[in-house]
Amino acid sequence: MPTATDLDLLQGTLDTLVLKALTWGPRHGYAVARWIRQTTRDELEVEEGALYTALHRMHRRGWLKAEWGLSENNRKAKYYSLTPAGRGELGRSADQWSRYSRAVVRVLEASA
Amino acid sequence: MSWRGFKRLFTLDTGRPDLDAEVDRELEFHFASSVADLMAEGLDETAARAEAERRFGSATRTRAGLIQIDHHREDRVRRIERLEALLHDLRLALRSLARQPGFVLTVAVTLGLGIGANATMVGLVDRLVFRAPAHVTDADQVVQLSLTQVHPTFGSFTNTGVAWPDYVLAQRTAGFSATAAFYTGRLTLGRGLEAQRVNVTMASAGFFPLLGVRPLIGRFYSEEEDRIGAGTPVAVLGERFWRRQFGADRAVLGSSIRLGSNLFTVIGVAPRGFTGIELNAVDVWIPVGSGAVEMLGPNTDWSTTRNWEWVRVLARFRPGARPEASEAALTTSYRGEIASDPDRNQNSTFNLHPVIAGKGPEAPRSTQVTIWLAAVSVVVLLITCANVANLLLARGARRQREIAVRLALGSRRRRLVAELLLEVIILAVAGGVLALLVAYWGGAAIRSFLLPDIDWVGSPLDGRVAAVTWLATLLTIVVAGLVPAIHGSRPDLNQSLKSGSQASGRDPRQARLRRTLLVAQTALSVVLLMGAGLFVQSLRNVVDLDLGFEPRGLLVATADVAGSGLTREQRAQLATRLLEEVRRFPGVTSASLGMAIPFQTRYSTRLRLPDRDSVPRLPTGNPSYNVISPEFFATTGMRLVVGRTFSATDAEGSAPVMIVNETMARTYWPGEPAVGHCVMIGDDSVPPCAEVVGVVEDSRRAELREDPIMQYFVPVTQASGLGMSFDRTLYLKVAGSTDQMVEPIRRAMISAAPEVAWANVTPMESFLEPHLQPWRLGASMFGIFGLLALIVAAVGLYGVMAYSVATRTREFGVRGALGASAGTIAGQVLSEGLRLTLLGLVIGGVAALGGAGLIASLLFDTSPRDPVVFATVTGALLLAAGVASLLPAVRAARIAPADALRTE
Repeated sequence: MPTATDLDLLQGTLDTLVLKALTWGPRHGYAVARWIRQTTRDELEVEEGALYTALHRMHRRGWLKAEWGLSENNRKAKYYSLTPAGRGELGRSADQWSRYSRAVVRVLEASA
Repeated sequence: MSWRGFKRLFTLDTGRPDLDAEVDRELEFHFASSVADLMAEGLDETAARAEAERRFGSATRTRAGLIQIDHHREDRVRRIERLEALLHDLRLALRSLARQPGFVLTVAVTLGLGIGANATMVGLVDRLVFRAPAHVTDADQVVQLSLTQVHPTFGSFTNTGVAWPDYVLAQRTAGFSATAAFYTGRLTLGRGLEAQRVNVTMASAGFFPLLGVRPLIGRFYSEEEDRIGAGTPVAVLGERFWRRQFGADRAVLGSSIRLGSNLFTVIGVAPRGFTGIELNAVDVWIPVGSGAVEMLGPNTDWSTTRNWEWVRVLARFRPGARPEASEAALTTSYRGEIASDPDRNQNSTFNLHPVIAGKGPEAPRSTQVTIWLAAVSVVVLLITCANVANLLLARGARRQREIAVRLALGSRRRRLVAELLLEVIILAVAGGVLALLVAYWGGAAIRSFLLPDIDWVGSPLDGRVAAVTWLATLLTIVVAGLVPAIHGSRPDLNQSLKSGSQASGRDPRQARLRRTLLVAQTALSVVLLMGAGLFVQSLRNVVDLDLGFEPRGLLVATADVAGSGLTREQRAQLATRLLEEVRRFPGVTSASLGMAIPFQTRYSTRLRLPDRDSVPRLPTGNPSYNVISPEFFATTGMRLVVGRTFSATDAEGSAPVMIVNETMARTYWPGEPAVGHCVMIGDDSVPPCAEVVGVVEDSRRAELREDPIMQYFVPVTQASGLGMSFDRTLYLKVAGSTDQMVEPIRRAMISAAPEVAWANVTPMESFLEPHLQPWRLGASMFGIFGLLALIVAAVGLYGVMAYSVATRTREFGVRGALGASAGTIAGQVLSEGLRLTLLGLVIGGVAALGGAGLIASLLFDTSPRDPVVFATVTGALLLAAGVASLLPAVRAARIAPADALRTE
């Protein structure tokens, strides 16, 4: 089980969320932000600036690819989608997350 | 091409998409969408905007971060793209080359030979001329002494051999921190059948510390062991000899070896490759104190006389000393010492020379030849470059349509140039690799076949040679590759596309360039071939030279009886016994006794004429004599002009007789017959007068080319009566190969006389060999280079003609259709090839004639404008040109009109 500081945790978490948001096909940055907000029912407040930083960083790392396309209201928007590498990364980080949360839950529910 | 253009050749388009604007656009879209959604949820515009900004966080910081990330990404992408483009080009180039293996092979082999020849010669010149002697520390501070003696009528003679008293002078000269003396010769090692001759350097004890060399094992000898007249017989072995003779066994230290008449204790081994300041391998080093008896003979006054200039002197400068000051001081004290000596000249001067081989006062002729050959190899490289450039141009022209199509389809020109250049680089690298092999094998071959006596250390392919190879390769890429690459990528689009491949190659600019290259290359080849021809002619002249005796089939045998304690009479008897022994030997057709060996030894003594106050002199010195038995002239092939040879009647005690050579007869008795006159021989107050009974033709004494010398002969029976010392030499004439007779005769001599320590049997020709070697070296190397140039020139001509025919298929076809005969067409192609060659011949011939004076000094009895050589070179080149154009000519003649018209 890897140890992680709060910041790493947060960043890793954000990456995982963004990757997950893109599993249903190409989305622009605003759509990703909106999806995360709606899915977490506003419980997880994600600063949108950080979200864009995550998108660009993962683009640089080759996990995402980016293309300009037309949005639902016919405006030019930058669409991100998963590359095979991104898909692999999502699998890895999701798996890591579940193990981490299971362990935490086990600790919290432990009786004596 | 400008520098920017050149740089662009290797980089891709630098115009990158505007990353900043993209980030802005992305963020604008985000805010617009966010505000719109919030307003749809019921917020007014101001509140919605505020909420959107709150949700986003710091827009400025984020924007800067995003831009930075994107720039990094862009850079990486570009790097990868560039690498991929390069790999792509590389694949393309390789594929395009693979389609023409013949072309690739021709270019790579041409380059390999051209560059390899250069690397080989650079390796040789480096070792022979520029490299300091091995194991010598601060070699630039070490100098060798030479004495230049000026004679009023005969000019000046410079010699590095000086008299021992001159060495004593040098020892006292200020400015030197150390001086040392050495002398190189050969001694017999061991006795009897197992004996061998070894190269010995006799050196003063200071020799090793002066040079700064350390022994490999053991030690060098001390001043104490090198005391003159009381030296200790110790020996230091050369590493090569130690390895060969003793299997590199350390136990050799302390053991004794027999050198000449004495036993020497081995005290050390010199480091590998240490040869003092000379190039040739040294087997054994011995002190002067104990070695002089062996090296110089028992009763010599070598340490006091100025009449014998033999020892070579080294000196090391004190820090800050001025060489001119030392030279002047030496010269002054020398002139002081010889002031009362009428035989010495007051204009004599001492000079100091660097010890780096080839820079000395007597730069060996083979060094001169080697430097010449290095220059020649550069010419070969130029020819190679011209040829490769030509082949590339022809190939580029053939692909012009393909290139035009690609340009029309939007390929960037610099990509095409890069691709063409890449092909050249691949070819050059292949050539470079071949060149390294050529340098390695070529260097090894020259070392062992042409310069075998030099103690070579290290591989012929060292770092310096490899560096030169790659430098030459780089040069070739630039010279031979860049022009065709740029040229090839710039076809006239319209023209090429319209007229098709046939005419596109006939761009007049290109054709002119190719023809110029071809003519230049032919001209350079002519110059090289002329050089080769002149050297071959020289070698032939040297070999065929009439020496006044016949060296072929002649063997010279001496018996080393040092240490045997034989008296003079016993030695004479031994010689007679050995003569009878070898005379009966199968294969020996004639045998005689003699003393002096041409090119090896000479003797002279005082002569007087009974009726005159003084004897005439020649610049070449006093007459030298030889002591011979009657069969001598028959054995050596010397020719009697008048009178008679010696006979049995010229016995000990009968009237003394002599035979003189033509020069002596002419000098002593001009205008009258020599026979009948008499000459008083020897130092006695009333010496016996020997009557001249015959005159023989002149023969060479020490040099292949020498001014006339005086020589005379006396019979062995009368030598001691004339006060002449007499060391017997056997002369044998054999039928067939002399080399195969050496060992059997040597064994026969030793088994016939057990008191002989060493029997030395040597073909006369091997005494001449050192004199032939520079010419042999020159002839073989120039020959190889000349042949190389001829082949390259022929390949070049073939390439150009074949290409020319290929591009004119239609023309020949049409002419065939119009009734021109195959012979006419073939003749036209042939004459075109020959015309180009003739032009090259004329230019090269003029250049060769102009430069002829430069190599005149290296030739032997050969005019640098030798008409036979000129004619031969012209013939060889025309023949090669004919052969090279024949195939294209036949191809042109065979073009069927229908095919030709269809190719369009």
